[in-house]
Amino acid sequence: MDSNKLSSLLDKYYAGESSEAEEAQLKEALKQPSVDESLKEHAQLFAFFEAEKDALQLGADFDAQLKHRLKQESKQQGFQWNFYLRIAATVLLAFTVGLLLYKNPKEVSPEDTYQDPQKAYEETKKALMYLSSKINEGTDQIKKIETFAIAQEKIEKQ
Amino acid sequence: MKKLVITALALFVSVATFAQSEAFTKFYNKYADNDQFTQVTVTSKMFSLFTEIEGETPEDKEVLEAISKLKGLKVLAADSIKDGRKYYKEAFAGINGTGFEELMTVRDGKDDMKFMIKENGGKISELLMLVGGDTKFVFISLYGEIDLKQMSKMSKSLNIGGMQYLQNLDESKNKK
Repeated sequence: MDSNKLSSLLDKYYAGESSEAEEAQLKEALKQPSVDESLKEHAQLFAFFEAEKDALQLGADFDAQLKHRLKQESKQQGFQWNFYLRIAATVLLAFTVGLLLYKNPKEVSPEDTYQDPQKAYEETKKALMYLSSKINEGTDQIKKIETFAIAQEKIEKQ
Repeated sequence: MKKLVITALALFVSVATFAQSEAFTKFYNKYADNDQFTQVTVTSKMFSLFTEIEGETPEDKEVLEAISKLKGLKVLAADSIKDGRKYYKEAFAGINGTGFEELMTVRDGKDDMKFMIKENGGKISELLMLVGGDTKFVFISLYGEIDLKQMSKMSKSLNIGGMQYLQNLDESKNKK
């Protein structure tokens, strides 16, 4: 095949107008080592296509590989589900604890000196009684002064 | 979202109601690590637990009645300290000018004693008691809603003085 015919076939091929017979002819012609220098790059391209076509064939172990991949993928998805489940569990736990604390104001505060209500009560009672008695001591003194003042007034009036 | 807002609001409100005067807290925290002082903190949460305590004796009833409206109690006390009056003066200096009114000052020869109150809408929201002697120092802060009459009534039902009462309490505890 002369190079003129070949290049016109190539043009047709690239334009997508060539018939199957013509394509086969073209491929065969380009495989020849005697191909024209100007068409060498097209020949290389066609050789590449040919090679790739072979490589794209399904291998004998394709099924096994596919199954293996599918298995791995499902494993991975299972792991992801686990991961979300863990987040959900953590959130749920935090929420529950928060709710319990919120709903249970009777929970003892860490600020408290005593964790035992009975002991805390004794101490509170002690402090309040002390305070109360001191208030009364104070007011008693004031009452004494008041009585004295009233008495003094009475004396002055007489 | 709604829950979050409610929780945030509840938190804010609780912080607002628990608020104790800064002057006291500052002093209280200053001596937090000092072994010479006894510190007692009772929070409103603990007070709410007291409702389960049965008021058997009339004095318990009076005490529980007084506690019912309280939000917290803090005590800072020392009974064998050098120059209690120094602490008394320091504490008073810290409180002075922070919105407290002096209710009563008593000097009975041994100890100096001061009562101060903070009023909020006609009600006493905090009561401070300050005692300073040669070796003695007591600083009590009571906050919440304070009824002075109830406070006074409490120990009158016993008809004995404060220190005597404390001794009796110790004895009665030992008997139990």
